[in-house]
Amino acid sequence: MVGILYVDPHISHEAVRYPTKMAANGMEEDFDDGEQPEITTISDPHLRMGISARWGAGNQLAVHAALHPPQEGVTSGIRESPRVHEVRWGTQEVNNPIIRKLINETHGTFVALQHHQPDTTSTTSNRKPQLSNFSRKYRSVIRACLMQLKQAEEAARDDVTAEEYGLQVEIYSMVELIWSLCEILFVESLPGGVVLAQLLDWVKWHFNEADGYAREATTSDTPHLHDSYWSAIYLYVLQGRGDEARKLLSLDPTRSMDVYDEYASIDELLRKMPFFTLYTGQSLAEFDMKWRHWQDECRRRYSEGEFNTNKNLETICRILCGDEDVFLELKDLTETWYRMLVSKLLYCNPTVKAFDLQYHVKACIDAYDGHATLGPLDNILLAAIEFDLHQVIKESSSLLGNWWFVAHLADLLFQCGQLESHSLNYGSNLREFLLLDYASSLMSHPSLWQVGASYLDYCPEFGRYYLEFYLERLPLQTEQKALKVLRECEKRDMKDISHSICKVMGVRALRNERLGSALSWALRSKDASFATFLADRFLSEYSSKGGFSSLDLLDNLGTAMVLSDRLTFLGKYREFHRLHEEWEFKSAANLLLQLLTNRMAPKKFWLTLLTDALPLLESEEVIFSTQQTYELMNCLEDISLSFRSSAYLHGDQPGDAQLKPTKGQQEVEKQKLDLIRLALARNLARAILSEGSLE
Amino acid sequence: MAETIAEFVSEKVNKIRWRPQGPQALQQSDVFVSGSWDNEENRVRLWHLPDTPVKTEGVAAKGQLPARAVEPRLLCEVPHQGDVKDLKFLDYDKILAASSTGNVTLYKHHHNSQTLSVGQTWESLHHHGGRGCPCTGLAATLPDIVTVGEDGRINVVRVDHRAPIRTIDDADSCTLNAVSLKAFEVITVNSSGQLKVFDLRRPSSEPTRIFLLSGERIPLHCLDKHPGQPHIVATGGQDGSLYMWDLRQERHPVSAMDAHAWDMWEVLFHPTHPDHLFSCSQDGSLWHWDVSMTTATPLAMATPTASRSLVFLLMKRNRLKFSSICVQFLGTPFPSRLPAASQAQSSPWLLAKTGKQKVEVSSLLLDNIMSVNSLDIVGRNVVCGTDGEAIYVVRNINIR
Amino acid sequence: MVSVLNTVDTGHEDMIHDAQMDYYGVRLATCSSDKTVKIFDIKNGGQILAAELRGHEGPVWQLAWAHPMYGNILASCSYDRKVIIWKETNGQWDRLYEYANHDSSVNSVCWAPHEFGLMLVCGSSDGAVSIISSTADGQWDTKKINNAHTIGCNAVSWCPAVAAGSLVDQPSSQRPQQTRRFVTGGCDNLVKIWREEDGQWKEEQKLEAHSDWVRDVAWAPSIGLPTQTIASCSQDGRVIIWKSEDGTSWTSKVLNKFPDVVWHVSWSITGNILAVSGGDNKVSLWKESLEGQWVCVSDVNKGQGQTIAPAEPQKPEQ
Repeated sequence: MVGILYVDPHISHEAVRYPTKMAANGMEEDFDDGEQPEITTISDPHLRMGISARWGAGNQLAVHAALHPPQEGVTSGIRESPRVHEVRWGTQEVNNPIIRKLINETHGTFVALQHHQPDTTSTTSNRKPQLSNFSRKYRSVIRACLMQLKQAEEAARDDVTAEEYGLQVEIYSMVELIWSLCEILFVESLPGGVVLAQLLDWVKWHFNEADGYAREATTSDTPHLHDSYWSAIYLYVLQGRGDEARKLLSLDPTRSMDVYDEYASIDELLRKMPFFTLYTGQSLAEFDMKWRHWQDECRRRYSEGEFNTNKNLETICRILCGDEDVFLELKDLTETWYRMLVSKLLYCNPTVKAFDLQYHVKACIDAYDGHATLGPLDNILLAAIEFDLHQVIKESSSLLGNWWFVAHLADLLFQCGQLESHSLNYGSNLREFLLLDYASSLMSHPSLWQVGASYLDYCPEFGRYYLEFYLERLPLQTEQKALKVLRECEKRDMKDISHSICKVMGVRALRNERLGSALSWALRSKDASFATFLADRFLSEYSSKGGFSSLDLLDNLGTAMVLSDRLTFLGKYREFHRLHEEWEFKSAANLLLQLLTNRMAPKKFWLTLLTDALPLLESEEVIFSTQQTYELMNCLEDISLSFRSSAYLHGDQPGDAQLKPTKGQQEVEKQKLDLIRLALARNLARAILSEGSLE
Repeated sequence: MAETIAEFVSEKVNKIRWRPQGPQALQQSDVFVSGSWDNEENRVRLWHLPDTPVKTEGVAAKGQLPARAVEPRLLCEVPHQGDVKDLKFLDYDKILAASSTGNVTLYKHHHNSQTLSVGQTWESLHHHGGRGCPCTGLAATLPDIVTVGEDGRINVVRVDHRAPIRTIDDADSCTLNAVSLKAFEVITVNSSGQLKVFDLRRPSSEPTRIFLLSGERIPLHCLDKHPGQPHIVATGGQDGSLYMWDLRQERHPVSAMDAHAWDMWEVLFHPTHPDHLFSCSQDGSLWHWDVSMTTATPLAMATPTASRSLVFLLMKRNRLKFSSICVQFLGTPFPSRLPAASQAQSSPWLLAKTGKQKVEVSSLLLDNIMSVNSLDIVGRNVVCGTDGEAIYVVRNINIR
Repeated sequence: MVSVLNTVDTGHEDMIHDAQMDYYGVRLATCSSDKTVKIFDIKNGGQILAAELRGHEGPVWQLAWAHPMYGNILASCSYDRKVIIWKETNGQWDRLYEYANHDSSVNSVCWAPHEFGLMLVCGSSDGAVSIISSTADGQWDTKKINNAHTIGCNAVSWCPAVAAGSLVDQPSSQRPQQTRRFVTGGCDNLVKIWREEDGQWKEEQKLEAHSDWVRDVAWAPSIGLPTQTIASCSQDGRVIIWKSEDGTSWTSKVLNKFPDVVWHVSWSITGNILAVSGGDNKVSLWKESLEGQWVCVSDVNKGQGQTIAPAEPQKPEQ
């Protein structure tokens, strides 16, 4: 992975460096250890003047040329329009459709693994098969991914795509190789267990040239004379595939079928070679005895010169005898130290324990020119054999630049209890450290955030905080997406983030002049102040237009209206209108009075309410009682007073000062007040009369 | 026995629909369309589902991958601007797609070249002051196509007409999430728990009826009307419950059943066996509801409240584990004013309050954890698409 | 693995001084010596010029996006001694407020965490720092700290709102008011932390470690640790990481000594990576390892990217 954006490498620094006083001691090393991180270059001629970078959302950086120090009046003399580069840090492979399948498919396995219930009553050995299953599940997805990558590489229409896929094929081949070795050593192997059988499978699975050689030989007219014939046989023997070797050997026409010759002898030895497998009930000691017996027989036949006449068969016999020199001679066939190691152990030390593998490594490495020539992949495999998990993960992440692999491997090893047991005092942290990086790369992808969120759930220390940052910054193109993001917040009880998202959506609806929609967002997040703000907007809309919009919502607020006093007022006021429309004058009058007397109505709205009372006061039937009329008169007096002090209308909030009524408006309002006063007086008279007549 | 096929498609699927049968086709449809969302470039894709191959049991060697033949195969695809919010086959080879940009696009499938091409686009049918906003749903009874959107608008468009032939601007003060057509009546659900019916024959832009959930204002996401008895409507919403409405009745749903743990994104009656219903949810589940066992003896004689909460618990807790459970309609949470006389010819879906209707619910996806956004059913095959970038086909569902 | 996803050709007529992604990373705002501010839609690797804001009379130095819950709001500061707050309504960008109470170039602007309301701090070459905030009724309230840094203030950055280490369950609106703090860096080689007390801003800390002008300061997002972290960079070539457990006592650690002036420091949104822009024309990314060491990100753990060779300088393609 890369640490640096290095810009404009071909321009001498001295030529562009600013003459600051730091130039004198600017010779210090950039980095300790003399290790240089990889450098990414951006071709933009302006960048020679200076560079500046700002983080955006996720792993996104905005990089541009900058004038340092920023000065006015300095003409930079740029010729082209300046550019801004959107740079992303982290793996880009998430954009590959095949890798996306891997990401999604393994996500389910990952979550299941986090929830697997190790049978607490059982020993470690009982837990193993379950964990092996998870490991194999991962591996089968890796395999499927690899196959598809290979297909895509072959089907690629242009070289660039082919190269891209080729690189991924290379990476995932290594991933598969390392994963399966780790599975053998850390997931499947039992303490003190014998691992050779699995190692043989590992070699067979990944390095199968032998079949290719065999095919070449057998399809020729004279198989036994073909160049590949003996290579195939040796490889079969080196991989412990006796039956296949015997089949090929039987093709040699020079052997005589009727006599027990050297061919028959080697055939017998190959056929009788004992194998140790875990589940046959055979004890290690039993196997060991059989093995010694068989190998003694091999040695006897060899020393008695049974194969002197046939060098090829003699080589086979020397392999069977575990003759160290023969492995050196055949090192071109085994190709790598680790394959030599497995072959050699098969014949020299078949009951080797996982922990002891490391003691046999050196000779094999030396056979291939020693440690100095080891490549990064060798180092990873070596570290695995040395049970240095930390090193495996570290080397893997720098070799493969693949967060998927290290994160999942570290997690699996953690679940196996391997991260603590190998003297890493921060076992769980290493796992989390890697998972956070992986999840961050998903969260920075426009589409994979749901998967990323799920991984962050299993990062106990920082996951939640990371998730909050990322969730709040997801672009909300549609309401459905907003709902999905909100669901993620609600699942995790992230109230602040849900609140913020609802507010953003509400403000957006408001900007689009969708008051009803805005209110529904305020209600959803129980945002009282926003609801109050919106209720005021509804009321001023009513004042200016004489009617309400969003009736479908306002008429059905129900209990939601208690969120804020203003909203309650709005709901009740609308109810008053409905009662009025439905000719329920008595109830309408009661409600109106209630709104005024319990001070629920904002003062600036009183005049409107009293005006609304006019038709009720003027109706044929007396609706307001004397008592009620007095109360209305009180309210009217209140308004008149504040009207004189000019505090009504802008009394509640200083902000309403902008709405200061013009002279003309004031005149109109004054007339209104007089009208109401008159109506109240008339109503009082009628009420007294009618109440008196009732008595 | 039902079998499930999964295919990872490298994009989150927002909508999925089976193609209707062709004019001369004898067997049931094996082609479906999917639409993605939230991707940098979204697509409408057409898939073919090969026939189940001959059983090859015993032949498959250990560790071998299952034969790929049964997995859906991509026929063709076309880029789509914005999220695909809804999809509808107008006929055998015409697909209508609603977009989060407010556009509605008609795609044509050319069988000979296996390509999809744009036939017609209505731009910004849904908008805020001219700037496009998501079109959330489509319904069609040709020649009329009805669209609804986040702008609370209803548009009626016709193929070959460039402009809508009718627009109801303020059909809703909130977001309209889904739409269905019943002759001249447009049925919509919105984000504040309301179901509205508009009559297109009337000039008024007011709904003829407003139905609503009582109490909480739970956003409704989806609806479907009963294929045989169009006055019966099923809806699902944010709370994951299944609500059944009788449009002949007043205001509130006839029944409400606790169902999915989270949002129900789609609900569909089986087109030919309407005693079966399917629903899918944000919680990753895909359910098959079956009321075909009419007048069955009640399963348990526990008190209604007790078994009701038992069902609730079962579903919430063992969301991903149970394979089949039986639940009963156990009374309606809302006072129903359905006259006794009409009960007789009523659908089992409306027999809620009798407490005698047995409903069998089975979960069709067992280990999916990502939101199932859409489903469709044809014959005995269900197809669904998820946020886990997978398409699942469940074959041979038990339909009685 | 760093890759260039998209290059936006800004069309500015002179150098750009700042480029800020919006909250969601889908819009890019740039400002330039040509006195303009431009806003680009950069979704899906495209670039659409959404707006060009004219109003400043000198080079525009820095930009800041407000939290989207206040709508689309952008602040800019300029050599013309002004801060302008811009707001979008129906696709149209207009001046919402203009602040012109500085006597010299305004170098830096930064919005407060949204929990504090619409509140902005800016630092000027006149040595003063101003705090501008929107009151409930849409008015603007301003406070000014004179002589915050002698000779001039170069950079300002807010402390995150969530009190470090306390993940309170109730929504922030119901919490007791949180302490408001910001950090500034100036030409007096100092980093200063300011705190609001009873509506007044007071100098809380004076952090001394740099030996030349402090060019940028950045308060790291809080990720649940009780520790607060600030990064500062200076013309002395040093990047210093300041940490405090209690918000009052600070310890410093030199992240790296660079061969040239360091102009900018910028935290990733989760605060786990620091981008350092140096006078050597390099941007390096730094991450704190498990052992608490700051390392150039090249490795998951120890910063020994030994398997990766540096890119060889290549001949210019011409």
